Amino acid sequence: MPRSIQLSCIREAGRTREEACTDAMTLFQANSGQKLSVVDVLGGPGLRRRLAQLGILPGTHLQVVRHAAFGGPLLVDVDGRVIAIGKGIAAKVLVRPEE
Amino acid sequence: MTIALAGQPNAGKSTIFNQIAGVHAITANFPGSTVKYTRSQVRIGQETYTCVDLPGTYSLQALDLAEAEARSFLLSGEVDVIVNVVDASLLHRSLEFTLELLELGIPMVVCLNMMDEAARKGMRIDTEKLSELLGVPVVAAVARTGQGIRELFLETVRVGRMRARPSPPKYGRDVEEAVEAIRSSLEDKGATDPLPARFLAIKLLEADEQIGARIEGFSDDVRQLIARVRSRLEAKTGRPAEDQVRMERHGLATHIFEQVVKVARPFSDIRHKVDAIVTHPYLGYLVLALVVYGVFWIVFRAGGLVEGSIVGWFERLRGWVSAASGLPPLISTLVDGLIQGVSGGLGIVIPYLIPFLLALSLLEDVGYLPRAAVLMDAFFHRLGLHGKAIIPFVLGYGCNVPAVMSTRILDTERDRVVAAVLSTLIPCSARTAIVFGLLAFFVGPWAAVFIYALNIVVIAVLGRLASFILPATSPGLILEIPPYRWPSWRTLWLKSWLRIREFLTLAWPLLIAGSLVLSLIGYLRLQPMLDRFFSPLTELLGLPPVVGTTLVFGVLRKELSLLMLIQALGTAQLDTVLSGEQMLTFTVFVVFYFPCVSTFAALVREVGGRWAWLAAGLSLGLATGLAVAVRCLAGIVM
Repeated sequence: MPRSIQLSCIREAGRTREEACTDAMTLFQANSGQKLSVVDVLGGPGLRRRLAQLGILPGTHLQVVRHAAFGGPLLVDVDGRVIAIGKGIAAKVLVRPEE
Repeated sequence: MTIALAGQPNAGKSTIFNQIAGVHAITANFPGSTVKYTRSQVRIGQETYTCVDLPGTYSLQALDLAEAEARSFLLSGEVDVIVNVVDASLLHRSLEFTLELLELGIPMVVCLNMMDEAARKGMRIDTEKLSELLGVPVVAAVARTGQGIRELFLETVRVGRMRARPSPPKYGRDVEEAVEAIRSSLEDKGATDPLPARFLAIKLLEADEQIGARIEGFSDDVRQLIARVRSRLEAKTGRPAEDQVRMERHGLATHIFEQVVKVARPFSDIRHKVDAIVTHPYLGYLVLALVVYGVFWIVFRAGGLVEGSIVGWFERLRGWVSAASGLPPLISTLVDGLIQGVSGGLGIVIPYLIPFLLALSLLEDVGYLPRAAVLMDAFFHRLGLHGKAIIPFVLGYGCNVPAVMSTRILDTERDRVVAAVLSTLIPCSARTAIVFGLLAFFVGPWAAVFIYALNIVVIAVLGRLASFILPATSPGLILEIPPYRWPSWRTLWLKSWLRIREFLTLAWPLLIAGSLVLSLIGYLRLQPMLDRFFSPLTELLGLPPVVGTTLVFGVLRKELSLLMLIQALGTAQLDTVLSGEQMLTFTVFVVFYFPCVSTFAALVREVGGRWAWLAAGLSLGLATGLAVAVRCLAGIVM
């Protein structure tokens, strides 16, 4: 796991490195139908802002609806709103499965 | 009093605007269908007010040109009352923007639009409670049917008259302390900014560059104070100040949402099942192919049926006129030109224009375009663009002008330029009329399919080249996919009618006038001179010399080329004077050769004169090259 991802896991209050990082993954790696919560968005302020506008910011919940073929975007459900996210961006959104 | 309609994309602002202002704004079911604001005088009760339809924006932090337009209008001080249009079925997400708007301190009314959609999702919204929590009136509405619109505007006018300033939302203690520290220092320094100091303070915490620029003139100690306050907040909360503000606003929205909404079991929604097929990784492409084929088939069948009978009818009429002896030659020439002008518009353009525009509007309003964007994203990436760029391209099939304007929804200047220039190569409905009226009708549907396929290949190759010359910088697709909506037939017709009316009132008279001018040229025997002037081109393309003049008309409006062709050759039975090969060459040239004047003007406006001329030169070169290549190939094949 890249160092930047590890650091964001640790930033989450009250979790040790091991606890935090064992179950975190990028949105791109998540399976369809899985309920997820956002841990962090690894990206510049522009991207963080754009995603935050659509409700993807640390602490919010989302669900992958479907992956497209040919390396196309993912469809993600955020509070009942469906958003298409390119795979490059999905690889920058760090999520954790919800219990 | 100025009323501004503000809200997130695809919340139905333009639909509400059209309800109150008559049809002015084009609506569609995809985020970003409005890219610049429309202003109109509206009558409410006995008075007249100014109503402004703003482009949708997810927040006041504008991230593309369309959002920037909405933001700068809201901050201009010109707005007396805001109508915050909210998609009730997406209330949770929309509330954050509502809270942000409250911070502006402008009198406001919340319109809960699409209440029917919310009910279908099993949401019961307590509007009174919501109004109480937000501190502003809330009016429920269904804009599509006009339900609640009257009450909405009566309430808006009332709030505007009272100048009731809403109180801004309160954040957690840490954020409030930070906001207060910045606000009081701004006020101490005697800030003269018309925006509320609290709003400025929050935006400064959120690291908003444009608000940052507004306080540029302040002394260093204010800026140092802001930096200090931000880092103190960051130390306390452990995350960037802007994230903290956003998260708290999000939390506040969630808190309000949970108090006002009860979610019962949603009615089983067939649309999810439909969507599972339409955006299915593989079946989706089959659906896409069927949709394209369906549109093609309808336009070809419906248009061909009408073209055949109308053109035949007018040809007989011309026969009678020329047989009628005793008319002076000048008069009979002009009458002949007149008949041809009228028949060209009625027989060749309108039969294809109407079904094509209706089909395109239907796709827009149902909500198919964003789904097509998802399917095409991977391919557009190879062109250095992403799936969002499919919207300008699809709109381009209707008309290149809105296509060029819609590039405002793209994220970077580079993407805008590439998409704008490439979208002018898309055969618009005027060119479609030529492709169908000439090629499909006389040569066969496959010739038309060939033109569209060639066009797509050429655009793909150019896009690929562009991504070598101007490397892509956009990070990727982020696009909201709205639910399917059943379009209102009235809206569909009105949208199509706006464009058909443009043809009837602008292009058709131009066409009839051009027809008369050509008759006159023929009568005065000036034709040979003009033909000589165009002979290098016509010879290169292997076309009859008289065709040269007709191409000039196409610069004004593309469909004129075909109609002038009929005039120049003296018959609508074009297959008697042109070979299939010549028709193919002509069509290829006309489809590519120059954006029409309106498109050129739109390009100048949106991406600048330099790119516009480049696009013009590029298309002229392309058209000539491709037409010659097609001529040579067709010579071998046909």
